[in-house]
Amino acid sequence: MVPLNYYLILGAVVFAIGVLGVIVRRDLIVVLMSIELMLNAVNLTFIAFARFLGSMAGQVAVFFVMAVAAAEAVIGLAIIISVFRHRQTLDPQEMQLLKW
Amino acid sequence: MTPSLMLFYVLGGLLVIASLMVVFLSSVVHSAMALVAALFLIAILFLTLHAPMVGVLQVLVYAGAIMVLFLFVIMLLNPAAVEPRRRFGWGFGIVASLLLAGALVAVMTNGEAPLDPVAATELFGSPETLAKSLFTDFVLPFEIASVLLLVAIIGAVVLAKRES
Amino acid sequence: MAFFPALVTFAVIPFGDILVLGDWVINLQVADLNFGILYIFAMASLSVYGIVIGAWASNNKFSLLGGVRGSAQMISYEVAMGLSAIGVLMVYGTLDLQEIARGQGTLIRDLLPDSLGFLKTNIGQLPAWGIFLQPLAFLLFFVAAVAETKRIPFDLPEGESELVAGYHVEYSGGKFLMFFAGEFAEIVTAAGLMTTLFFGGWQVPYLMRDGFHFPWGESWLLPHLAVAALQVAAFTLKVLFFCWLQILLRWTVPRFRYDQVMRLGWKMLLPLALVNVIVTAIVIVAVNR
Repeated sequence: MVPLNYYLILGAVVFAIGVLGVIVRRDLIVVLMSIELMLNAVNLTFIAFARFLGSMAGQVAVFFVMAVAAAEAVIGLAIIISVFRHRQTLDPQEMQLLKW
Repeated sequence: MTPSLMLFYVLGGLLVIASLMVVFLSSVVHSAMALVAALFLIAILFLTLHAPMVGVLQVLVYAGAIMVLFLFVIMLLNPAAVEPRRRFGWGFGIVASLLLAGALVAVMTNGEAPLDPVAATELFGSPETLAKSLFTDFVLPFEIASVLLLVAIIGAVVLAKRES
Repeated sequence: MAFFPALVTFAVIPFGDILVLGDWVINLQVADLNFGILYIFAMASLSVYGIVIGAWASNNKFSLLGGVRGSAQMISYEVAMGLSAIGVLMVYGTLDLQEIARGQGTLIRDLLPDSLGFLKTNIGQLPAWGIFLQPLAFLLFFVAAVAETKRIPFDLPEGESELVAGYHVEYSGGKFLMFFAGEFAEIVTAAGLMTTLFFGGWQVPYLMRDGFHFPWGESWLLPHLAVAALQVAAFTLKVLFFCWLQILLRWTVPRFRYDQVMRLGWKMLLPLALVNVIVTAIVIVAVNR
């Protein structure tokens, strides 16, 4: 049987990789995808705990995280589309100033 | 080395490779496909953790619908028209995420969670148990989540409309 | 990737009840999953990727347009398909396809309460097939499944006379075979799913595990192997009938325009599927009182 710590370490590593993507990449869509990766790492941790503690609350939490992630991905993509229409670029470095 | 441990190593290794590919590949479409692969691997990990319903939902919702939406948007905003990324801040980013990973691992493996799982009944993680929890203990978050999804749909339609 | 989900989905469709060979009880279904139907919908959502990536990889505007249209159509009709199947799930109370097939073996009169005695004697004699209990859901599911597999009348993404050949214009040989064989495999899968959910799967009317038991009292006992063979034959015949029906539809009906396809999916099928769920819920609660 796989010990709990292995799942937690895997979740932490994937989460850190997601954070790396958010910090470094200069394409908004990839940033959004890295956020999804982080959410999934958290889901993995939830499910691992749900299994090891025998409680269904972890799986219900994952259900809600998935719903919220869907809503957030949809809105994020809509924002990306409208930003792209205005500025013709998806580089977060270009969007540092709120108004110019 | 039991079979389940070997399976975990294979899945975990592939998952780490897939997430590295999401972050490091230069073509957006390739990153998206790597993310689909990562989501699928996570769904399989859910199945090994006695969460079949959530695993299938992951494939159905996440890999099946959300990533298709990502691909649509990527194709609409033709990636060739977007500036190529410059190698700026990679060193800082890598150091920061290594520190974060180290801190998280230290915190999480320090706890007193049981190292061996509680014996799982047949029904743990099945649709019936999940549905029962959802509709009795967690019915308020359930309703709020449905309102949230409605708001998201309306918001996305409003945001993405062409101004006419 | 267009081919794999169509094949994999067939793993959960039961093609017979158990087969007992001496001590060995075989469940005539490749994979008995607790949540069989959800697995099928999950695989159906994965098949969208084959279209999207195939279209984009062709580096050709027409192909991309066909691919985007095709995948938008597929995801729209996935929703309608899922919702229309919910009515069936509510009636049989399970997500497991083998249990749904088994549940269609009971007669309708065993499902009705005694207060509806007059119904028990005439239509109560029919077996509880999905088509009798959920006729609207069957129509919705049929239309949604045909649209999902992009058969005519919904095949605008392939558009044989419009968009050159749509999203697979740049492929030939082995890769084209993957797309096309995937489409034909999906026809069989959709037919299999329709028979399991609505037409009793492998059930022959009035055939129980030991022989025929007619509701008017007669019964013919049959050896077990004959029963199993009859059930597998019944399943095969029903699937063939639905494949034939889809092919017949292809040669008969003209193609829909794309905006008509979208309007049909969202404005007609989806509300009807929701109404079906609500009405089914009301009827189930009323019958169980």
